[in-house]
Amino acid sequence: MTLRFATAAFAATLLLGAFSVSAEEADPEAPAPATSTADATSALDPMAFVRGAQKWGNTCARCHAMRDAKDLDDAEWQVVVTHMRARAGLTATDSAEILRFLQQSN
Amino acid sequence: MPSVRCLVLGCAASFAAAATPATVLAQSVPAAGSPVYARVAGNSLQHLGGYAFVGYASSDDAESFDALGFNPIVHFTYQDRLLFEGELEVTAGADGETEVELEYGVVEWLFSENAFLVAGKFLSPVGNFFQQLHPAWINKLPTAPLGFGHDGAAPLTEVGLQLRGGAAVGEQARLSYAVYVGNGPELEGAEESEIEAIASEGFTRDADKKKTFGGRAAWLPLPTLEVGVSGAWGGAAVTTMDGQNVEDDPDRGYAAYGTDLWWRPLKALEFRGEYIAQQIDDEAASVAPEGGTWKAWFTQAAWRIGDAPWELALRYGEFTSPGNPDGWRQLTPGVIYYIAPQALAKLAYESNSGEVPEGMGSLDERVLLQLAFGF
Repeated sequence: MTLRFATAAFAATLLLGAFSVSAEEADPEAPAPATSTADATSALDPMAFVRGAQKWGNTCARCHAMRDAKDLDDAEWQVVVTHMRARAGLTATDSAEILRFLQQSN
Repeated sequence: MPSVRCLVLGCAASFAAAATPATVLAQSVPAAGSPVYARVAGNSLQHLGGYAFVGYASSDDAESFDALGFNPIVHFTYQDRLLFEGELEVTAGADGETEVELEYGVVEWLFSENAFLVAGKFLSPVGNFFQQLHPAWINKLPTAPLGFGHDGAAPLTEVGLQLRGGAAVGEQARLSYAVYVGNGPELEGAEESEIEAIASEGFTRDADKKKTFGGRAAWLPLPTLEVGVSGAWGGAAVTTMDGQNVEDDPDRGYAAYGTDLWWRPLKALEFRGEYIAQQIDDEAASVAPEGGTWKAWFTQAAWRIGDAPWELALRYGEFTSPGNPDGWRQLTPGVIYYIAPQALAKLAYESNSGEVPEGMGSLDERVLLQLAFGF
C-alpha cells in the first residue's frame, strides 16, 4: 500500500512539473522560461549585480568556501551554475543572478 | 509488480505531458550569444572539475600516508536544459592497488522552472552530509563524521529516477526538495547469522524486487538558516553472507530517516548538525533473521578567524549499530589553513570512545593531516 501511495505521489509530482511548464508556455507571447526571464530582468536592472553578489555569498557559502570568480571563464561558470542549480535546489532567478554576477566579475 | 507498472506508466504520462511544452521551450530560448541571455558560447558546453586529496594519520599503532584520492568530475550541458555529470572515485588502496568506482553519473533534464528530472546513479538525497558536504575540499575535517561513510547509518548512492528543484517563498525564504525511486540498498551478513551492514553504493540490480522511495525537503526561512528532513522506505534483502553470495533471500522492510540543520549566526561562525538512521525489519525466513537499526549523528562548529586564511572546527559524533549497541563516540577538533578558497590544509586530532564495529577502525587517538584541492 505504501509503495502504491509513493508511486502515485511520484507520478503526480512529475505531472505537476509538466503542468507548470504548460502554464508557462500557454501564452505564445509570454517571455521565455524562468532562466531567460530572470536574465532579461537582470540585464535591465543595475541592482541585479548586487543581488547576484549577495546571493552568491549567501548560497554558495552554505556548503563551501567562496571560489574566486576569476577561477573560471564565462562558459565554465554557466555549466557550473547549472550544475549547482540542480545540486543545491537554486531557483531560476537566483541562479541567473549569481551567474550574471560571476560572469561580470571574472 | 502492479505498482512498478503504475510507476512506469506514470512517468511515461508525465514525459508525454512535458514533451510538447519542451518543444516550445526550445524555440523560445534566445540565440546563443544574446545579451539578454547569459549564454556566452554554443549550445553544448563542458567543464572538467573535481577534487583530490592526500592524508596522513598518526596513532600509537600506525603512522602512514593513509589516504590518496582523485575524483574527476565532468559536466556537459546542452543549452540550460540538459546536463550530464559524472564523477569517478580513484583511490590508492592500502595494498597498492588502484581502485576506480563510479561515484555518480546522471542525466539531468530541467523540464520545468522548478524541477530537474534526474536519471542514473545519484548521491542519495536522504541526509545532507554525503550529498553536499563529503568532498574533501568541502568537508572541514579530514574524515567523515562517524556513520556517514561506507557501511554506516547514512544511505550513500542510489540508482533510479529523481525529481529535484527549489522555489522561492517570498523575498528571502527558499524551499528545496528531492524525491526519488530507486533499486534500494542490499544487506551484508556476517558470521553467526547477523547482518553486518546496509550496503547503499547504488546497485543496478534490485535483489529484493521492491523499489525504495524517498526524498528530502529543506526549508530556508533566512539565507543563514537551513532545516532539512528526509526519509526513504522500501525493501532490502541479504545478498552476501560472510563474503559469499546469497540468492533469493526474502525481502524485508527498510526505512531511513534523517534531519539536518545549518545555521550561520555570524559571517565567521557556523553550526551544523545531522541525525540519520536506517532500519531493517526482522525476517524469520532469512539467512540472517534479525533486523536492526543503524543510527548516527554529529554536530559541528566552525569559526573563521577574522580575515586570516585560518578556520577552527570542532565536531562531535556518535554511531550505533546492532554490532555496537553501546555506541562509538568521536570528538575531532581541527584547524584549517586556506591556501586558496578551494585548497585546504587540515590538521585534526581525533579521540574515540565507546565500542567500534568490527573492521571499521579502532579507539586509538589519531593525529590527522590532509591536503585537499578542489578544481
